[in-house]
Amino acid sequence: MVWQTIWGQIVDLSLVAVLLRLMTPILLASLGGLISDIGGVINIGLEGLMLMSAFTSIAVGSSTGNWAVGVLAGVATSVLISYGMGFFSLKMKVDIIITGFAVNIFGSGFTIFLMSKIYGMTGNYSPTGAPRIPVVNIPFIEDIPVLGKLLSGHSLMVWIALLSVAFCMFLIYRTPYGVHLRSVGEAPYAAQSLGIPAKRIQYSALAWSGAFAGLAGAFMSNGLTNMFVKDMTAGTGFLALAVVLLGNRNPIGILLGSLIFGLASALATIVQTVPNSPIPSQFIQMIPYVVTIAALVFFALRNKRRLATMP
Amino acid sequence: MKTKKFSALGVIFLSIALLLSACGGNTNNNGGNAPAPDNESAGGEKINAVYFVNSTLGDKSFFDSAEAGMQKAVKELGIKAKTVEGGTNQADWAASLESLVSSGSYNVVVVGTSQMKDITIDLAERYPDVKFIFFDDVIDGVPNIYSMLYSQSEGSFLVGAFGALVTTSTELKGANPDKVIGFVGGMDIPIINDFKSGYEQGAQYVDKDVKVVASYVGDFSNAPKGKELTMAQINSQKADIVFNVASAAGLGTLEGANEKGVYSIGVDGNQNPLYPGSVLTSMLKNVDQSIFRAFELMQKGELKLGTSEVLGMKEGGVGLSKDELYEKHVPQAIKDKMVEIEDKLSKGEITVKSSL
Repeated sequence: MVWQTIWGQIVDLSLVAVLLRLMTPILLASLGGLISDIGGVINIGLEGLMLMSAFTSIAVGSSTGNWAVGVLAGVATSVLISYGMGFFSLKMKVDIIITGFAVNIFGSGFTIFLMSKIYGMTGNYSPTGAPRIPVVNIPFIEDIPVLGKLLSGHSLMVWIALLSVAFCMFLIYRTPYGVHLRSVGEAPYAAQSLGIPAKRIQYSALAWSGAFAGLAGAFMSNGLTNMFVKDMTAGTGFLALAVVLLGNRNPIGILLGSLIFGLASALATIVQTVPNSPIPSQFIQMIPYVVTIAALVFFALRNKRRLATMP
Repeated sequence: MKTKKFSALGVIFLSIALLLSACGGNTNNNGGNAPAPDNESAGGEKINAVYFVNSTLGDKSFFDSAEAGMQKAVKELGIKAKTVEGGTNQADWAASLESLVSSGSYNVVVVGTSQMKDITIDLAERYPDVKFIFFDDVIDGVPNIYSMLYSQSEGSFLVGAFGALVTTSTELKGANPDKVIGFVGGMDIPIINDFKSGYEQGAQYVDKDVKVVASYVGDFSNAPKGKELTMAQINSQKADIVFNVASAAGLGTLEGANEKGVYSIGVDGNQNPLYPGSVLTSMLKNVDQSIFRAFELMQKGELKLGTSEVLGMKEGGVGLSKDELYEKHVPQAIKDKMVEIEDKLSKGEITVKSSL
């Protein structure tokens, strides 16, 4: 029964659609985490940034009637707060981890505060008829049986997330900026002694992480759903940090990590809906995390073996 | 100087109080069997209540509903009442509530939710003169606490029957031939499963073949996940009506059902207007009515302090939300059938087993 259902979903490719939807916020947020990590200023405030962006984008989007303006406003807010993090951690020398925690707590509380002040609600804000990030239907391809379902009908943000992977590859490994970023992350003082403006690079690394976290947050409130619910990110920002490590600190690895996690989540979603399932729901809800840990162990063992065989 | 003024004021107040009490005694003596004035409980003391909100008002659901009940009691029963918002910091609640109780200005305290249970029991034992009306959890055996719980199993029975009627309906456009109805819970915990058990019993009561598919979000805030689970129920199991028991995460459920052109059932408050025509009805916990009822009983001297009650259909503790949207979008045949089932529940002809 369970296998039949899963197989049915794989055959009619709706699993792919679910997988891509679930993967996108994690992928975007972990790309943000990656750039800050490479720059040596690991941003653990992703969760708070996502919440702020999620709220701003739906609020601005619904009041202007334009999703693009909403998303941009969300990203701008997130980048602004990231600069604030930079100010405190780089200029005022507050520990970056503590700054990140502060942002997480701030994001959760401040969005509720704004929601109650602006809309008079404390739990959720769901405007009717708010615009949302459009779905991309590719002409001609959408009519081809298998390919159509595989490539067409996904949210624009899914494509942005996938393109972001390529963009990050390029940014980190093919530009002078990327070289500077990596050197600053490895040894900031050495980089500074060579004339690389370490502080400025780290500021920009935080800003990039803010931009990607902003996109992820905007997608949660404006694409996946059309509402803001308090604490709606529900740990996605922290998962993203795990995916950064799972992905071995490189964009392709992160794409793979997000895919594994997204696939596990999609499967858990389907398995849960099987009626009278003998498996307790708690176990099913564990699947994504168990798979992630298993993958982490697998990659760690493989790396270890590779290191061992090196001369 | 200052103390003089205060003592003068004190004397004045005392004399007024004496005068008033004398007057009260007189009328009663002269009138013989004259009815006691409205705002006196059987014990002879005025009800001066305070409602402590262990959060903030404005949730459009639970706490606001209780506040409405307080206002109604003030208007119709003539009690004195004040509402104090405790804020979202859980650490402050115990101290704030204790300062209200120890001030001695109030003789009745209204407070609710399971998070406040231990705090309330502790205070009730230390301040035996204050009466407590406690809602949404059970406290037994403390002589000055009356507690009431809403029978979510009976309420869910109603919406389960409603769901079964919808999925077997031929009049509703979104209903498919598969007899499957959905349930999205917040967490796999006893309270939520009590909803589920009632929902299943209700569905089975209408049609033995109706299957219930249940999923759990894992928390009460992840709306995107709530939506994803709902879509999976609709896509892979052909559910055509889904019951949201996941608080804020359940808003995703309502949105998912709306997007797929099928139906959903709201919870706790009236969620029908969120997606008109898709959210067909909501299961209500009538907190306002229950609080009003408690004050009414207290005035008559019939409130059973020291016990707890489960308020079901009969006591008006739970019910369906029947607003104009319900009237507009639900077929007449289903409405009639629901009235019949409600009637049977209140008369006790149907008994719902609680899984708690």
